[in-house]
Amino acid sequence: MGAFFIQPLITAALVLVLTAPISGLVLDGYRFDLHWQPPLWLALAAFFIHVGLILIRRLLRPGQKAPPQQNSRQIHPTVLRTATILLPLLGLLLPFFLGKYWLTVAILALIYVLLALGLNIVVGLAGMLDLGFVAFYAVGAYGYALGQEYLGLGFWAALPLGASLAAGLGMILGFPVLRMHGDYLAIVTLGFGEIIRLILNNWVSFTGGPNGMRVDSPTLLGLEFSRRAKEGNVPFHEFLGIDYSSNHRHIFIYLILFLVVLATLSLVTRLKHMPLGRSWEALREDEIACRSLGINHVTVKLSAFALGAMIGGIGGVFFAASQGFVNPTSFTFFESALILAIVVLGGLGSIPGVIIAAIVITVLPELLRDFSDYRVLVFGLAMVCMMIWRPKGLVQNRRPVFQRRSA
Amino acid sequence: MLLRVENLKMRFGGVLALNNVAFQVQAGSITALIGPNGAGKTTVFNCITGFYQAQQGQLHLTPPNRPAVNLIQILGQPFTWTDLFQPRQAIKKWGYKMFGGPHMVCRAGIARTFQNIRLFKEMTVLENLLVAQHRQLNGRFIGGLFNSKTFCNEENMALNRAMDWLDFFDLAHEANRLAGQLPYGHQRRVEIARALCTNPMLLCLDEPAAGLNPMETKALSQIIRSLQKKIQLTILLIEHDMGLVMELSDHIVVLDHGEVIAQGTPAAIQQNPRVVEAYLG
Amino acid sequence: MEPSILAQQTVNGLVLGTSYGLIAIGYTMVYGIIGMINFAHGEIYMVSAYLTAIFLAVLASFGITSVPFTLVVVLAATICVTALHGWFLERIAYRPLRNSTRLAPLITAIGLSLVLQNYVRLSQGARSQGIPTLLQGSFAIPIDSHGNLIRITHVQTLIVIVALLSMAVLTFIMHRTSLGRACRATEQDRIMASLLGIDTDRVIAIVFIIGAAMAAIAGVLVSLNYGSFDFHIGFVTGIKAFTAAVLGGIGSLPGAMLGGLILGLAESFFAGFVNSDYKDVFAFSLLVLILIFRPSGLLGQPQITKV
Repeated sequence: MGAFFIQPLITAALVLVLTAPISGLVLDGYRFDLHWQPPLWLALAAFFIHVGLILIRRLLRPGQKAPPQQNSRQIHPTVLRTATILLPLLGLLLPFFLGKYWLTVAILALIYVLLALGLNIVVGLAGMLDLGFVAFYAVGAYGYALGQEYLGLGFWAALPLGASLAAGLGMILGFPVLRMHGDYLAIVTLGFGEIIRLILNNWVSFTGGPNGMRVDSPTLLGLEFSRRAKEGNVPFHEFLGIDYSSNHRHIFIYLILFLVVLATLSLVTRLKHMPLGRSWEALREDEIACRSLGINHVTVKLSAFALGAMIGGIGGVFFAASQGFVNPTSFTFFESALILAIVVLGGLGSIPGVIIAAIVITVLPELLRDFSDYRVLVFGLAMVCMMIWRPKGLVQNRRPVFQRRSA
Repeated sequence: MLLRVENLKMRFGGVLALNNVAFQVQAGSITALIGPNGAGKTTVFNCITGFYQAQQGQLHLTPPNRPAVNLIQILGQPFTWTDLFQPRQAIKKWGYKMFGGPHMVCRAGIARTFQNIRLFKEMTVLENLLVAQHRQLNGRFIGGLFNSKTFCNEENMALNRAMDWLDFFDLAHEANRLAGQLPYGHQRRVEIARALCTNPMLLCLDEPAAGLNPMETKALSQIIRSLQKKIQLTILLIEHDMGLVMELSDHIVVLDHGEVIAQGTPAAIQQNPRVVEAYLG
Repeated sequence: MEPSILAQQTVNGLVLGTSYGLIAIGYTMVYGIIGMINFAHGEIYMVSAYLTAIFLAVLASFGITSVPFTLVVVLAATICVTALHGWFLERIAYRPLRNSTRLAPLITAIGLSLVLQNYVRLSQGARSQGIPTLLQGSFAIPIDSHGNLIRITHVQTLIVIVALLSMAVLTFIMHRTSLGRACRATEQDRIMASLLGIDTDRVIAIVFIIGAAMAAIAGVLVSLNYGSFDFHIGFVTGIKAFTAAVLGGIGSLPGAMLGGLILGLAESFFAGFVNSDYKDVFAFSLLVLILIFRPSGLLGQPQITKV
């Protein structure tokens, strides 16, 4: 029994030494304040975590490990069909029951669902770690802002423009980059993302620099959602003869965004069952084998990269439209890491997992406002723990089951 | 004659891995490539299937009822100064440089397996076989998005073709298991089945019997024989199991230190003093 | 451009470059031995900057004013605690992933760097921190007859001397001791090394410790030089140091130093003569271009993919 506690005690002592200076001695100018509790709490936590780990290991003796997961558990088709009809309906009705605050949260959650679906194609399906995904998000958002400022484009013109700009940029970046192996790709995309952000930040005369740019909200068939329309236009509430509410604008954005998310979702689901989607997954598994089977790895990867970028770009346009304002601080590396965290937590390659994770990660911090400081810390910890204990994510990617069919 | 290898030369740093390797593979035959470890057998394979670019030499695939393919060309050759005067050729070269590679070799009709099995481990056996058929399915992108009737039909045909091959290899009951979870011998067979799904004319097997027990080796030899008989497949194989090689092959090429030291029928090779000295012992 | 400015930028660039080189060693050694980019390494450097300030404050509170004593104690304490951080991270986060997919350790490393950043932010606050000036004064070297001079501060001199010393020690360890031999053997072939009785887990842990220690040296010296830092510095400095490692040829120790020097010079010239707003863009672009056109770097060997 003594040996049972010795290791955790050592760990606790180690953590105490490790965290004492940083968390115990808080700098205050050139002097410091002594905070003796945090290191002790951390050490205590380390002790109990280690004890817990040993307990779990004792309970799950080697040999008693769960057998390799069988690939037979499938959702019942009736349940699936009901869900595919019911959930979108619920989603469409949802904004009419939400206040302004929760409406913006819901829009943000949908944007993250979109981004996560896009990154899931690149990281989860094609297995390329893209750490600069935020670049395409930024291109979409700034595509809208700049297009409006210099070309007078509205939301509906910016949507395809932002999408194609992002996809084009993805192709241009992808072509030289996709020949290199995994971790180098990660770093190059990371560098690329930072370059885009720094340019947006430093090119003050063109992008407004850190001050950002204002963006108009979308219109419905020319009807504006503001209290008073620009000259010659009719605002939406006057047209319908109802009272003005700032919610209309958000509900409208939510509804379009929801439809776009649904379209993306069906696109990605279809692709997974098509030769292209299968080639992506095969490339993730073994590139050399793919090439020996006649798959052009560069173009197949490029298609994943460009499609992911395009979805990111669309997300960016919606982000700009819903915020009414863009500036470079929304497009830091942290944003890329957050989207990556969503994909990792949800389960690389698993579409339902990624959607759930996106919603949880955006809505949960709003529910736990008091802990919002700890949000990123917890994300980081969750990423590490997931990789160690459940590298396939919370919802594992299921393989389709095939049977002989009559042609 | 299906494949013509001429004067193949390959150098890694200071090591001359292949020196003037030349041999031919007759259509419908089983040709074996043997030799001691490090003789350059797998390097020859990698040159033929496009994973290495030979520094010198020619590789021609000359199928009986299709136009001949210059395998060196489709891998993308380096530019030379003569390209300046032949812009059309230069553009063609550039195209192959950008889009060429081992996948073009496969499309020309050569499929291969690997010494250390390379299956898509996290995908099911059937998916492995479907990936190999993507060429036959790829033209239907829009149809696939909307799940059109033609797409479904093609997909079902691909599925049935895959099931046929699995039946042939006696693996149908494992179709929906993850490939990485199969026993080793089965993985070897899945890899061959997957290569066959690309509809090759020439199948290159890199040590197909490595790690198999005598029973499995016997079964494998029957499979290879029936592939040759049933679908007139041409087979090129690297193998250390001399029993298998002598029993199966019509023609044997012996490599040592990157050079072909002998070639001929099994009977002739067994008598050849150089081969006995270098390899058979 | 004026020669005096040119000379001054050269000095600044070389000093900057040695610090990049020191941090790059951590990237290059870890990559060499387990083939993974330790993304959290930049944060280790950030932690060491905080440790420097904390230990300085502690010593000051004891009323110790002797500059050489303070320097030695702070350097030693920071190296020890930072190295402990490096070892601890490897033990809890990377070792369990030794035989997993390629993506897993990289994602873990990103998670770790988020954790470290926010742990420091939550403990020490988000504001930027400062360090009192320890070493004042500079050497002024005339470079022409018009009385133009370049200034090399004592801190800059210290940086170069300490960096060269630690490089020399490290080279000695890697080439003349059994530990170094074990490191190089593990780098060549981990499985074979472990079959020959080398405790590869221990070797990998030591590599992490050495990397963290080098980052700590850079952290102490750079904080003394610039005097201020915040919890964000690890990210950009980390990427630049990684650029240096790739530029020199990842896996090569002299390459890391060479890459650091070249990057430091290039950045310093770019900031001085082209545009200082875009110096980070320049460094990142350099990274992207090297990775695309010469991923094996200056001193590295190109890899042959085994089929």
